[in-house]
Amino acid sequence: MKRGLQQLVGAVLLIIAIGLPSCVAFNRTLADAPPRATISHF
Amino acid sequence: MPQIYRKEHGNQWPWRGVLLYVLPLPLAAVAVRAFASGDNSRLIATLVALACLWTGAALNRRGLQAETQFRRRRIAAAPRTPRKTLAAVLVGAGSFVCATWLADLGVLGGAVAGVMALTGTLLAYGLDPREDKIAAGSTGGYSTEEIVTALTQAEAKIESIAQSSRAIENPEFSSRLERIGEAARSVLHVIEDDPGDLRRARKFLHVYLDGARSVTANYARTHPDARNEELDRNFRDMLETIESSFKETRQRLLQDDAMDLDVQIEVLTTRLKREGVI
Repeated sequence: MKRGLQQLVGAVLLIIAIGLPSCVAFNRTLADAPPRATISHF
Repeated sequence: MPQIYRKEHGNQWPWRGVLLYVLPLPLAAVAVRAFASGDNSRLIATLVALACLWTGAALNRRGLQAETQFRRRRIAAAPRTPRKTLAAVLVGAGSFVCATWLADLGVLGGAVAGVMALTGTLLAYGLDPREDKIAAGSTGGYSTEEIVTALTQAEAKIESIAQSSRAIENPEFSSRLERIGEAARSVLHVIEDDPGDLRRARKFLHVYLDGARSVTANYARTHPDARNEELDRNFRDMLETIESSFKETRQRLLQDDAMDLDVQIEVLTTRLKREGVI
């Protein structure tokens, strides 16, 4: 029971500490991307 | 009291540790994008973060496997390299790099993320086993290290017999070899229960297992599918002798019957010499 709770807390910490910054970095990459060419560019 | 040998069925949690591989996946896309746009500093930061995180994930998996082996045995030396602890440090470092330079959370935010990742890894996967599992009762003058080495070498020989067995297509021989492997493992369990038996079982671990391994490997190499009745008969006789010897060894170890065991070993040694195996 106690070990299971520890594992759950550990998994949540990992998601916050790795998953969240990774997604933020990914989101920033998308935001920094140059705008796509549209028909109006031509 | 010796316990009945039960066949073990692989890793109970094959997916343990996979989360550490999955969570950094968005960074792979960031790396591709940084490469495509020629943003070298971002590319380097991403690659460093990914290297730390995935190396940590791989190290963590190895640590978990070593821990499974350690827990399975009744006598075992603690893993020499603290893989899970090193993995937690690497994961923390990777998270720090990712949060500081890729998510722009600043050094303080990165440090918090790094500490959280390190703590999370240790909480989720635990620490490495640190203390050897020492044999209860008399060890017959052997150190835990010596006992573990002897058992590990014997396990490797049994695994080698199983590998050769897979190359043999004859189902009768395969099932007999499987029984031999189980009988051999049950002898190892007797030694684990009473390591004082190691002295008496040493000949078994060397003569019997080496003999069984050589016979099986030679047969698998020379007759993978060709049928030769005389050779098959010889091989069958040899396997029968080995199987019954293994079972008797276990019984005699349990009965502390040293003299009978020596006689039994001499009989098999003579047989193996006659067949040119040893």
